[in-house]
Amino acid sequence: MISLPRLTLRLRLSISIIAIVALFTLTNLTYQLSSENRNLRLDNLQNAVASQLATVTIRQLLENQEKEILVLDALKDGGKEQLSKEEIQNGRSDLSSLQAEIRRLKPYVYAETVDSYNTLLAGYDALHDGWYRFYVGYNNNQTPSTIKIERAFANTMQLLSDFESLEILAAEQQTLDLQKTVRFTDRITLTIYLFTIALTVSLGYLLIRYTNRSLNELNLGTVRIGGGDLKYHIPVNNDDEIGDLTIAFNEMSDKLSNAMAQVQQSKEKADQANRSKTNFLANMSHELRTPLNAIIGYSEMIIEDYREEKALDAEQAVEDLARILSSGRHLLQLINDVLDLAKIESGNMTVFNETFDSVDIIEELMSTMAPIAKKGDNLLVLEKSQDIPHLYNDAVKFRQLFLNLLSNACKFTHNGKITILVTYNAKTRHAVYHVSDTGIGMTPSQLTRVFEAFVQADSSTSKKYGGTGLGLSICKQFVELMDGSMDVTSAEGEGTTFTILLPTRAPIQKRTDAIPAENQQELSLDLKASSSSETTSVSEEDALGRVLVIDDDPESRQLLLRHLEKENYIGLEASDAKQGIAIANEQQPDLILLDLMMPNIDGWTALSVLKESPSTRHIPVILQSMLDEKNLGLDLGAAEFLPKPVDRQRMATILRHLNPQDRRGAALLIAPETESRKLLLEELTDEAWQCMVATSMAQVIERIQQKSPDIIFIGLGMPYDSVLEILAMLNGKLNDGLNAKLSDNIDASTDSTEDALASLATAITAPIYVVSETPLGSSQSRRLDLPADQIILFNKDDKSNLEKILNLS
Amino acid sequence: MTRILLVEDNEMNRDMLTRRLERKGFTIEAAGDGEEALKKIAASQPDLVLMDMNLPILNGWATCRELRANPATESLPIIALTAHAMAEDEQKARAAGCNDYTTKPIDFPLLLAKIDNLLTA
Repeated sequence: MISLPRLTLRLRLSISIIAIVALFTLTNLTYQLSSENRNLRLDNLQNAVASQLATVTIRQLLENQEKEILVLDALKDGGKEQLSKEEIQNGRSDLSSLQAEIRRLKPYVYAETVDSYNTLLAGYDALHDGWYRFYVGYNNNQTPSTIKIERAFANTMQLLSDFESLEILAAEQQTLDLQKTVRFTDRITLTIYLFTIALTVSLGYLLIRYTNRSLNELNLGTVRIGGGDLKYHIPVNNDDEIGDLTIAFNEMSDKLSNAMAQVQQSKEKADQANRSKTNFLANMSHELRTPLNAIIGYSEMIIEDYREEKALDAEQAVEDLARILSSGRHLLQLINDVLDLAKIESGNMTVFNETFDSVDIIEELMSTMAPIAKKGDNLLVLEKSQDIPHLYNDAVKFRQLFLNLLSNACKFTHNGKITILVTYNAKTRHAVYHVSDTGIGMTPSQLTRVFEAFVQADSSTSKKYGGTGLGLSICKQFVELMDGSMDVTSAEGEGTTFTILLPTRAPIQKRTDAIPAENQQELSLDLKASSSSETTSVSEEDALGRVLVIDDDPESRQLLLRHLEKENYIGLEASDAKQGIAIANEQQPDLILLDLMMPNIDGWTALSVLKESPSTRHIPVILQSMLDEKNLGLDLGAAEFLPKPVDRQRMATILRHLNPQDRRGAALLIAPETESRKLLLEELTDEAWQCMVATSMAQVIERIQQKSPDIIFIGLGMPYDSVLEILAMLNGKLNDGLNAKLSDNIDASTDSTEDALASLATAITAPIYVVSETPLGSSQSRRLDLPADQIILFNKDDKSNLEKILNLS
Repeated sequence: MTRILLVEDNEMNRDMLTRRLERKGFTIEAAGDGEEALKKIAASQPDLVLMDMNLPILNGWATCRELRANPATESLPIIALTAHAMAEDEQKARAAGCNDYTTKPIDFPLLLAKIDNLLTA
């Protein structure tokens, strides 16, 4: 296996292509070089051949000239007449052309041939001179000696031969060189050519093989993940595009697996709840049937007695009727307790807080219980420290709670002592109550289940002591509703101590859980009633604002409410979208925290309902989800996005920024989703602006109808024409084309498009700023028809313009 | 005279059933828990047992299983009387060895028919 360097696929491809192109160029270059060389050598060879031919011609010419001279000489000796002027002229011109012919000879640039050529020229010059003088002096009989001329001729011929043989030698040498060069360059060209092919093939092979392998792994991984193995991670072998894809895929499967786990968890929760419900029903049935058995049985007996008109035993009849009565009362108690429990579990148990003296109530209860305590020969004692403050909590529940505990204590204690100890923890601001008895106590295993519904120490307990087995369960739930805590310690045969901690000030009024849709009407009435007698520890005047939490999960809702309280907000709650929308309409909270994943109506639908309704569209909605839906959420009209699990610090910051009582105003940002938009959004949010975003004309209109902005920013990657169009719309400068385009976007309820747009335009008094990442050209700026200071430059390096504007407004 | 052992921990129900059955001519002996029931069965060998299932000390199901494991009482007729009224409760009672099953509140004529049925079988 060939290990490749960690390169991206694109880089790999680029390198391959560059290598191939480079080799191809090299091949071309060598080819070019060799062909040039070849041409040069061929030229030289041609020259050599030409000059050889020239030497042959020259030799012929020389010999002819010599013959002519010799003939003339012979004629002169034979007394020949003088030469005519023409003949002399012809002879001279022949000589000239011969000279020209010789001078035309081109030697190779070898020292030898050049030397030989120069010698030849010199030799010929001598001969030429002889012959010239022969012609000139012929008629005057002043011809030079033919012997001398003969010698010069022989010399020239010799030199010509020498030159010729040297030229041939040089030409042979050239040919040899030429062959060598051609062979060499051919070899190089071929080598590079073959190398290029080999490289191309191997690079191609490696690329295909590597890509294939990575894709195969990815494919196998997706098949595996698709097959349900969500825990599987595809190994990331490559630091490239496929590696990125693999990482993205792994992240996706992680998210999927988390979501699945969540679903599984919810399912288990639901199953558990279902099981408890079934269990509860079975227990209920059992508990109802036992007293009913007595009621029906005794009634039937008495009826039989009367029917048969037996001798009636009045005493027996009274005893039996008393049993019927006590069973009936037991049933009533049972049903009341069950209703209480059901009320608590369904969230309909309302807490009405008021200020009361808890010690007073306990003393009152003690006098009520005194006869019962006396019956069991028990001593009832109250011990308390001096500084017990009054409680702000639900007094009715407090009374029921302690009545229950005291009657339990009396029930299970004989000839003993029941002590109530009340102290105050100033540090945690909790009142602490201990209810101790010296009764029968509980075993450790009984102790662990003491707060469960329908659990009594054992079934003989109810026979001996009565009770529904629901009392302590209700007590515990009451304490929790009152934001306190309840604990128990016990030793068998020695007694039991219940410890209850209650805050001196109960927090926001609680409604525990889901409220059925059919109770909506009742619910809203409830809320109105309770808000008039404000029951939260955060008072309306001190609070920073009122925040509605819409979340189906009671735990996360409670968590948010606690966070809100700590941040000094008044919390309102709704367990589903329908209820949330109703409360938003009636209570007009300052902010809404909306969970996206809810049964029946999900958060997206709720968001669109809230944003469409004229009475709620101005309320900023903060979305909450496990998944990052920020951009979609903002596009759909949400003001912010808060990822789950919620970070309290972050929530506080967002609330502070969005809270209408605190924030600077609403900013409308018209720009497509880009890094710069994100940057600008962050800047604005940091400056406590409530931000709305829009990416199109339709969205701009929608946002403005939702809430009139205090400042408008447009640009940052928005097409220039769209900017112009939107500016025209915002400035109320409408033409027919724009009108037609806009009519689709205007509320159908309004009378006419033009009116609607006119009112929209007049509604906008906010300054409009065109934001650009780079400086605009002058013609572009002019067409915007805005003062220069309303066209601002904004990018990650230069935020000064924006800051100036934000400081002004 | 048919002798019936009534095993019931609830005092009211025990009293009521005892008196009603006695009026119908049965001889009734009562027990408040499983252990007491086993003792009384061994001592007096009743013709039939009416057994509540939620009993202290030794519960009805365990008591039935012990009776069935003992050759002397393996065919002793037992009717379960229980406030557990789910379908699986009857299964559970029959699996423990009860011959019949009736739920509380007791339909007295039906109980008499069941007793009659088991005694004549």
